[in-house]
Amino acid sequence: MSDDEPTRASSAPLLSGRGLSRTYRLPRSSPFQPGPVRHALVGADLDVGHGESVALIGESGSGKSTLVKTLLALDTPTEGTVRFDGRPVRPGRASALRWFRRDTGVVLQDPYSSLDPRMRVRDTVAEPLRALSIAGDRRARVDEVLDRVGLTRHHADGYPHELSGGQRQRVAIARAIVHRPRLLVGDEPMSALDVTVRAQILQLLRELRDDLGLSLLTVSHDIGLVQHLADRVAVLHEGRIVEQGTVDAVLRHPGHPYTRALVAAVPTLD
Amino acid sequence: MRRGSWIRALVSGPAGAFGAGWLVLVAAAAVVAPFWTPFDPFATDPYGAWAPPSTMHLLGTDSVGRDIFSYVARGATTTAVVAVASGAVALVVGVALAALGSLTARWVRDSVSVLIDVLVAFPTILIAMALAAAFGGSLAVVVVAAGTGYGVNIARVSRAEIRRVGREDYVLAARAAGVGPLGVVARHVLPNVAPLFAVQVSLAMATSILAEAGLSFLGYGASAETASWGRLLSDLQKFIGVHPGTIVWPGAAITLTVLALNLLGDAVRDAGDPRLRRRAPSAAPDPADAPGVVS
Amino acid sequence: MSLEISDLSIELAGRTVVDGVSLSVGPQERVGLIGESGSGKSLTLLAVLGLLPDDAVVRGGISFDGRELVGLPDRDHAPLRGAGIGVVFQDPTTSLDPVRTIGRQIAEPLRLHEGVGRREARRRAVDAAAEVGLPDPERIVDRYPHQLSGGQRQRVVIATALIARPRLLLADEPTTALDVSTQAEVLDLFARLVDERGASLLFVTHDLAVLRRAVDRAAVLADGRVVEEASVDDLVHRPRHAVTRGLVEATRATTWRAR
Repeated sequence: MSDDEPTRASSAPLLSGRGLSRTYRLPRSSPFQPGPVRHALVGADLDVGHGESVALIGESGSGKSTLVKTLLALDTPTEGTVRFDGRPVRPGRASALRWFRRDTGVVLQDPYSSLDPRMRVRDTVAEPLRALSIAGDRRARVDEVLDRVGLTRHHADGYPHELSGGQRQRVAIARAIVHRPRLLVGDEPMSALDVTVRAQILQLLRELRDDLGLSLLTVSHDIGLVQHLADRVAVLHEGRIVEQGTVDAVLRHPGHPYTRALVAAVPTLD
Repeated sequence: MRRGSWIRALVSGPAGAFGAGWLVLVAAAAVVAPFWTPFDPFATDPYGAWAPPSTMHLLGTDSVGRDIFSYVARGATTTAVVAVASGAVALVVGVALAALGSLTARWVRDSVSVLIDVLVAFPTILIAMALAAAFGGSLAVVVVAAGTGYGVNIARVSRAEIRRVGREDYVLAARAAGVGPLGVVARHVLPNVAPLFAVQVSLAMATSILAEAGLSFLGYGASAETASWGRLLSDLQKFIGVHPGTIVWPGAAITLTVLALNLLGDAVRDAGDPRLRRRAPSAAPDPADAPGVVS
Repeated sequence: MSLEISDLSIELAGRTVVDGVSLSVGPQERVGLIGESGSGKSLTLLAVLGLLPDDAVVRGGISFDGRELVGLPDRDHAPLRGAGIGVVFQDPTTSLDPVRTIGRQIAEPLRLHEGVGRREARRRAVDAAAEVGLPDPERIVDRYPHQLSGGQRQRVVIATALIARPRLLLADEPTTALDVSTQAEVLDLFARLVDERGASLLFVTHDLAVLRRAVDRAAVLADGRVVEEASVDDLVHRPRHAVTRGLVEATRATTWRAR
């Protein structure tokens, strides 16, 4: 990876997915015919620029989680390529992907299952530091990042089941940024939380983006959240990206009928 | 997890306390009996047969005048050896098959799956009898039969659990953090599946005791020179019409030990689960709980 | 009909989780209970249904059509569930029995409370399915829950709750587990059915935006106490209590603004 062209690097996207498709073959019901095929993702193109916040909207089953997993090399696409900082990202051995893992962090949807119930909070947050063999005072880093997300030493020594949903999600965020990645990916990071907690976590994510220069990729079905968090949005429907653009353009003047229906159906405060 | 707190958690409930207590007693007897018992367990005394419990013969004597207490104590050694050996064999077989059946290539997994299903179909007693027919009845036969029989069961049960844990979000999060497959297994899969093993191994041990008792009762297990609770049961059973009381002693020994193993297995599993332990809440106010008024 | 909750207190495992809650729901009124997780709103609903755990200590009064429900033995409370009082819970997947057909589940309150025969029950189940907007009602009543989508399952739950014409409908976060577009349809369905049947509605949620579409008046719950009660319009535009203000602001910060 050469870094002799800084200007080009700032205009090229940080994360780039091209032509991503993922098909599943379902189990066959008769020995004479192959099983039916499910197209979870079809020809998806997606970019996340440096310092940009991109959202992926879609209902459950639209393929958004599949897209995110392929972009993160946690699943192998049937077709298509992924590049990070211009370098190709291919699912494979953990050691070969270390450079990529170093720069990405993930927050999953369910705060009740994304933390190992048998590990102390402190050890869960330190896990990326261990896995990526990051040098330095790990304990200090963990304390620092926990403080950043609003948790105390007491929380750190405890187990996940002692924390509320919002606190657990803070732990998940801490784990996702402890190794100082450049891209933070969230898969419905707030749908399991109460509204006041949601507002706090949203605030936290915005602060992290501003203070740490993080790029964000957020998957959500909640367009309210998207409006408050993202710069650009891509709409997924039945495995295809049907619309893409700035939040204003896409959500205020939706082109695709599915997007229109989504915007019309969302409950509002006034 | 600090050792001290784990043990305290173990014996804090009635189940764990009873289980641990009784098994400590059995273990003590097992260790001491080969070196010393009040009487020679095999010494017969035809004129002193069927003596009721007394200060001399704590549990009385049997049909040929053997001191039941000494015999039961020596039988504890046999039981302990069989249980531990069977548990070990079951654990090894179970872990090996479970690992082969869940962490390998698809064709290997499927073949192991079929193999496990086939083996599970064989009752332990049948395996034991087949082995006894080939090699003659002995404790080794009991251990191998009970160990493999239960080991296959353990594999079947734990495979499902391993698969479930493998699909949990925290495993995905670990992979996303850069943890390699070995790391995932060692740090997340094993600790979360271990409690299942604790229970299963204790059940394997309990089953092996019953198997040994049953097989010795039938004549396929311990030889006449080995003290065995099953053999004693068999000897006394012939006289149950005339002397119904004495058979209680080996029967109770077997029952209590099996029960204790079951209860201890559950208690060990519970003691290891952080979710079942409560910590004292901290006195400091919790910033993460502050009502967020977002401007 | 009316529901009158007076100074209700519920204690669970030594902790007071509902503390002096008073609320009334008049005939054909749509009232909401809003609060965060742990505020006691679901427990209040369970108290009305008589489905609190056995070791719960309940004080105060819940009067339904003049009849006192607190302290009522289960055998007298049970006949009310499904007939006088219908309920829709949050997760349609776990609210339905996976091994019984839709038709049989919808008709269950009829067979239980009115002793309706099988053929008649099926006919009414088909009618109910049509009323809640399920496609192809004649055939769908013979399907199983897993063959339906989440939104369709929730409609089944609603049909079951309303088939015996209850005078009071209770709902606990009925749209939270659904997709956004389905949410809107289900909320409209609620409103329509409540109007048509002349039933009263007590709707529990943590989402202020959903509350706006579902009810006219609501009580805000925090730590087991009612901190404010007003029309939804007043709560949103002129909140008086700090908790209400916090809710409104948090909702504004995370909800779609059409401008």
